[in-house]
Amino acid sequence: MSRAFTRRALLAATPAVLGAGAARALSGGHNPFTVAQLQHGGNWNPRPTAMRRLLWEVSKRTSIDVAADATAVTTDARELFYQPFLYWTSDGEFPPLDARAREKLARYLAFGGFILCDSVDGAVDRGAAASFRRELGALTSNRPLDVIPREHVLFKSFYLLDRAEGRMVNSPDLWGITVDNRVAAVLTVNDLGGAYARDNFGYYLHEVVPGGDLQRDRAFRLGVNLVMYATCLDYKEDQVHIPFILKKRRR
Amino acid sequence: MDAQDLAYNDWSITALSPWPWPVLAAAVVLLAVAAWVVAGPLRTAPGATRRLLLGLRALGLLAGAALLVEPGLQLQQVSSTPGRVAVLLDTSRSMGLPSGGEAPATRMDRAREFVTVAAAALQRLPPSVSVESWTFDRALAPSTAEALRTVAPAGDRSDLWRALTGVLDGRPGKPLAGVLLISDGADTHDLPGNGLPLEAAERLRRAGVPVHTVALGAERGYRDVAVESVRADDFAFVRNPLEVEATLVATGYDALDLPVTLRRDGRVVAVTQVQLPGGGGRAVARFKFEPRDVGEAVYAVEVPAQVGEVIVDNNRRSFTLKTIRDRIRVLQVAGRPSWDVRFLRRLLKENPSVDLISFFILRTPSDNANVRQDELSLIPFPTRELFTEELGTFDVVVFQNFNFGPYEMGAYLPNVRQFVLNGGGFAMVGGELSFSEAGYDSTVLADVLPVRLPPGRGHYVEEPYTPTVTEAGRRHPIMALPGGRVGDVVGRLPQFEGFNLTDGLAPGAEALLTHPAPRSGPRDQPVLAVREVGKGRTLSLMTDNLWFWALPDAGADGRGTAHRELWANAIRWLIGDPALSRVRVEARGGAFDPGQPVELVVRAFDASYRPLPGAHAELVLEGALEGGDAAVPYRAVAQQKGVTGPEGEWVVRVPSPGPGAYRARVTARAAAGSLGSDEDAFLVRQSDREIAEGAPRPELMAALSEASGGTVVRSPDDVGGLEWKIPEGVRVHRRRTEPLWDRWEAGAVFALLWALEWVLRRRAGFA
Repeated sequence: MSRAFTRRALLAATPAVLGAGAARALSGGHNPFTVAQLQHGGNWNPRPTAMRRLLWEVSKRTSIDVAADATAVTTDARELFYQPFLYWTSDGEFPPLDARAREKLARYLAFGGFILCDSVDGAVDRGAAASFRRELGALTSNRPLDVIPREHVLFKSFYLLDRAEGRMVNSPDLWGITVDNRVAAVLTVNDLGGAYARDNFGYYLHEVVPGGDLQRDRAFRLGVNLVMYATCLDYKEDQVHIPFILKKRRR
Repeated sequence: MDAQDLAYNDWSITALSPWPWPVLAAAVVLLAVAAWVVAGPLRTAPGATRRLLLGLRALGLLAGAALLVEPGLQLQQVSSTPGRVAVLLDTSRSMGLPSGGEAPATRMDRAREFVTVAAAALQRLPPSVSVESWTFDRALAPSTAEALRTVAPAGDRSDLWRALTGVLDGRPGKPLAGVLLISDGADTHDLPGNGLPLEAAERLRRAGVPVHTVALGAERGYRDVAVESVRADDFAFVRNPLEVEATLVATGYDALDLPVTLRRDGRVVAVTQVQLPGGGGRAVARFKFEPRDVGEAVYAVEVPAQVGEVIVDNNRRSFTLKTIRDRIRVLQVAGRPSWDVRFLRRLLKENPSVDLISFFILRTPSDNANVRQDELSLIPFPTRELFTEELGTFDVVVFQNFNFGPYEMGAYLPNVRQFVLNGGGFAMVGGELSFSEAGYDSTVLADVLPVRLPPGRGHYVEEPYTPTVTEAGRRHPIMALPGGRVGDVVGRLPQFEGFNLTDGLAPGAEALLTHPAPRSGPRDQPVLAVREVGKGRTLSLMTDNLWFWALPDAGADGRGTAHRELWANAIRWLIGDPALSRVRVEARGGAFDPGQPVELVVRAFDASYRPLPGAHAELVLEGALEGGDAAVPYRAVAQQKGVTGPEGEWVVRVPSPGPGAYRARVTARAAAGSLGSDEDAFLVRQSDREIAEGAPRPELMAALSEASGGTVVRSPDDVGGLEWKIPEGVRVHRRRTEPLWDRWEAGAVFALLWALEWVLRRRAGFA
């Protein structure tokens, strides 16, 4: 389908388009998976090329048809609701969203949207992570975020993973909020985007610590799993898959 | 005065002058001043002369004033403002039940005693207040005080609210001073439970008319155990747990320990023990069981009759419950993860009646996951197992943007076709990997699809459009979307942006949505089409944008539910849900009184769900007599054949088959073949509702009094002390005015007085 193409063409005329606004699906096909990136009052785009690289990796590793790059959106944008995967990142704290923005995001989650919150500043309880916890709490009547257990399908939606890693490993955990039995928002404090970001010559912009390139690949695997979970939900929990997965895990 | 004047019972003096009062007053004052001034010289006159002249002058002044004011005599016929008190007596059959007191008497006996004694007190009301007598059951009827003492309880319903509002609204010229309501409160129409609905209470409050209630039937010694209410789902799944809750109430007993039985068509399903507190206390009996048979059935919750119980018919309460097939097994096969795939999976997973197996192609041979196989959670696509061994276990198969080519599926497509012909449901959803794009045009599966596929690739088109609802779509159950006319509903939803071109509809197929004017290809391209083929049903959705009717619609402040609703309807239609059958039977009301003819309506529809005249239907009534614990097979009690009329309906009236649980089964055929079958369950009550629901409801009567500002009357002797809203003031019926001074004699008197005064004054030597 042409959704990404037609909208992207429109958005290319606005400064809200990330990067060069390259509105072309990598596969040249239809119905591409797209990522929206939220503009907010803080440093909202510290890793400008991260999502473009993740989309490329998703395209290369899976059957998912992807768009070339993410689209920057505000909570008022009609586009937000056409892109059920929202990437929300920040370097440091950001000011609280207003009531209308929170109302929009709550509706987005309630009707099937998925939010990936990526704190890149390295703090676990301060900085961007604290702002994310505040905002996600506001969307769920101040319910605290829960640690997503390692048995959750998110850790096996494509790759079999046992921890969450990014450019750093501040915490091997992911936190999330659940809406209607699905994890609708995920918070990582490991600067996932930092592991993906590359310059125009193809060099990674940030060193990955402490694990180096292997850790970078595990960060990509987590990204692929998050995309798979957003598009397939608990598909891998279906009874037909469980014997295979258990068998592989035992090996 | 003539004879008619005798009817005047009031009089008064009034002024008839057309001049305003201030002018008249000023004129009188001026005259008085003038008389005083000119009277000055008279003060020197001898005593007798002075008094005579001053007297004449004063009389002259008075006569002048009278001429100005023009007094008149006003005769009136008046009466006090009339009011009325309405006495309402319940004459429904429940009033024939025992009153519950020590002496054997019915509620109606008590009511008659009451109206006889109370009549004397009502006679003492002011003469302007008339007493009206009414009886009521299903409707309100005028009566007389004498008739109230002999009337029989024969009404087949009790509609308290209709009776009350009837007298409150009636005769606006004659205000209502109050209502005396004599009833057991066992309303069988509008007022469920013991409380009063808020709107009803508010209505009474606004009326401001006291309703004094005489609650009969709940005297000391009244004993009853009743199944007050039953709560169950509207339908159940076979072999899935179902909960039924029954509320029991006991009056006049000490605590009871009772077995409560749940029956289905007379057979015992479950028994539970309940402890009932005495004195009107309630307890809840809960049953959890798994229905084992598909279909509509009559269930009953019952408790055994107790010693001294006044009403035993309310020890049992029946209800109908439809048990539908086991969970619907759906196989969803998707060519790749996408939002359309994800939103369909989500709604199917959340539907408790669906057992979903999904297979998504997560990786194609050309994708490089960059790891060893054992680090992936992927499993091989089990084509052979799914499309040979397991296929028959599914009810619906969905191919969603799925290209069968790379997975050596071609050999299995005949199985899918046969699955449809054998009665399965199959849906193909569009996208760039679907329909002709995947080469289905050259497979046997194309034979059963609702659309004809063009050969070759390149038929996936991208352009924004709003689909149009066709005439068939407006009637078809798949398009039953809430929110108004379906055409308007779809018009408000987000546009689609892609679709798979077709060569039109397959024979016998119906388009429900079309693309009105594609840039390429013929107009009115089907977007959503359905077809009945063999014993099965197929659906083609020529777009992968239906999910726009979920999240994007919610983002545009829509309800965001049309995607879910359409798919839920589609799945039900694909499995041939009896509720969407093209022949339906309905027992009007679901329950009938003893002796009441059973009325059933059979409706037939064509493939587009238009009413179908001329369909031949056969109706069989089967009864399950109450047979204790043993399984009682249904037995046919009536059989009829008929043809649907111009409106596609055949109305069947059957003489009452006697108390019990029944089911009506209908099969129908049209020229094009079978329309399927349907069934509905109904109950013929052991006794009519008036008896079964005849437990007295003193709480309801008290609530009526409280809301209206009335009182609960315990004894007829209390009627004399009741407060009524007696209208104040008088009403003037006739009035006549007789002028007293507006005549020539008055002028003559005036002139004579002043002339006499002038003559005497002159003769006395004054100027």
